[in-house]
Amino acid sequence: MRPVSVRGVGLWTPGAPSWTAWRDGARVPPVARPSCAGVAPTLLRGTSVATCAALEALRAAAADGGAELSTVATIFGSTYGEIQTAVALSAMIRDQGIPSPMRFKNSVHNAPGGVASIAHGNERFTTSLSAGGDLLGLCLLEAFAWLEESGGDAIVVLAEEERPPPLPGHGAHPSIGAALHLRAGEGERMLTRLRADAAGPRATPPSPFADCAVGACLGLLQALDARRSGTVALSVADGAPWLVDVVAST
Amino acid sequence: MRVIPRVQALPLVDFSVCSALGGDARETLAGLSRGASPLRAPPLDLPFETVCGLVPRLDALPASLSGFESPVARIVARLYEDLAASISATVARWGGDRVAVILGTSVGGLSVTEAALAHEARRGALPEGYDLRRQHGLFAAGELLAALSGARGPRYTVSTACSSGAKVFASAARLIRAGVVDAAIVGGVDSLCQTTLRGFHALSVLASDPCRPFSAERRGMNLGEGGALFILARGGEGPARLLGVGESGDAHHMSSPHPEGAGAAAAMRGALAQAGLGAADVDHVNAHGTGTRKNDGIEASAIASVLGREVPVVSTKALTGHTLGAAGALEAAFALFALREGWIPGSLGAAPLDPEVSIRVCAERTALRCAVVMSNSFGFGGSNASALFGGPT
Repeated sequence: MRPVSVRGVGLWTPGAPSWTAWRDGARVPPVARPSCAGVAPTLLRGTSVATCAALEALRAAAADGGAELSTVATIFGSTYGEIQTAVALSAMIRDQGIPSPMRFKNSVHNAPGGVASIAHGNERFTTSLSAGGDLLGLCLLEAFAWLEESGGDAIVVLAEEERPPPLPGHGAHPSIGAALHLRAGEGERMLTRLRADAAGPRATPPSPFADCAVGACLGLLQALDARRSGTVALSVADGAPWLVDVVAST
Repeated sequence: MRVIPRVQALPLVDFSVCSALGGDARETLAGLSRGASPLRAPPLDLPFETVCGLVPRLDALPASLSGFESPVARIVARLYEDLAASISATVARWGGDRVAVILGTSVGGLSVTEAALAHEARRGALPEGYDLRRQHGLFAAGELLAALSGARGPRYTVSTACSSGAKVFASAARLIRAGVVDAAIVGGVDSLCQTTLRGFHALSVLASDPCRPFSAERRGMNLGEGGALFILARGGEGPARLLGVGESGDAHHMSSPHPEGAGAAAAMRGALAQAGLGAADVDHVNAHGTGTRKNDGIEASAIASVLGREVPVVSTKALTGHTLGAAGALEAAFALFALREGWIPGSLGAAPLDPEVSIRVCAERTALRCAVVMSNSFGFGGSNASALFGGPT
């Protein structure tokens, strides 16, 4: 597949609400969820932290790269998606018999993509994927393949919310949203040779995202930010590790 | 009107299917022909009445794969069993690394987590053996299928609510055309759970009797379990070809369709454009047709605007229930039956037709030679996909 250029990046975590804040170690008092500027409050009713983290990362990547949110293609990815909502709905069913319709309609895995499309009036291609520890590589693969045929721009948005109790792994990592604005063709910062390589290394995301597939974005964003050419590992677990080469002109 | 296709048609080498109509393709085809609704009360504790589509026989997983145990995993295993020989031949022909696994699901193993949470509420701990990753994860169905099949290529799940099982065809076709893989096992699977049954009830769209899509007397939808698997490949012989898939977004509402059906129409036009076909080339449409007042009328308007009023349309939801993330795949299998059999099933319960539905809904089984069939799938989040299938070359 042809290379794609990286036009912009976005990141949200509870204590570092932007990529530059994360990069520079500029921590702030953690907030439960981002404010999602530019999205009508009525649209955010009943949405999850994962959806809000995705919307914030999408907005930031589009702003950084100059993407038009009303027309850009979007590929959303998450391992467990709306897991907090799933647990909350189960509790409502147990306690009240019937779940909240507002929460229910936002319980689908493509809730971030749906809310984003409505918020920005975007009728173009969007999809929502789920995968395990190789989520980042597989979402990039979907984006590469789409850009190969359609050209133009696409934003890959990954989000994972803190797993709620009593589920296994609750509290293992905070919520996170990360996004990359990609454009078909070459540029100053490119991603090339996306591949699975059984002999390749695994990504080792920094604390507290070591066990989170979306945490693998941090290493990629770091390499892109530093314009450091070389191979970047994309998988924290599962199967043959996915790798991509960053090619950056300094 | 045939123009140059934007994409190359790809052969569908083989497929398997299970639904309330039957546990395999033969039974399902017989059920489609018979045209009697198998929907019945689900074996679940619910505070309201409804009927659902239940797959007749679903065996427990073999001990070596018991960590994946869930209703949706049993459906995957059932579907794999019928397709095992063809999958084995595909893996042998192209090599396991060159075969992707791309499945669609919306519910996944949520029913297992519901039971685990209920257990935790009663006893203070999750049940022993509960495995969030392998029993709940939307991607677990693909992991199970990869473990069964030996396919080692890219593996992920498309989860865009009720369009999931149709969008997998687009994703897989792109990977094949881009040269990433040579073949893909694609499909959709879904099962019943408390959250979806009670959630759709909360939205006041669940019917207590078998649904009646496009009828003046329709009162809502039913849910169902089931799915279908297909082998899509770069080359080879098979019962059908994937001609094109159109994907669009409504950008309107999380759970209600665009009032003018703009997104649905865009998906249908997108499929035609990919395939290089005109409206007159489509012989039959398997509609999304859920049976809710709003959805059916809007879809009918969209079909009329893109394909005209004369193309024979059916909804098969009264025969299977709405299988959510599996619906696109299940109804793609019905499209392949229509291409092969020379008849289309009746749109059960459609009579008397809603006078505001100005398309040709076939309430009875109809003899029809089809060369091109469209299957529509529309979901929450305004996610739309229309897939076009043609007979073998």
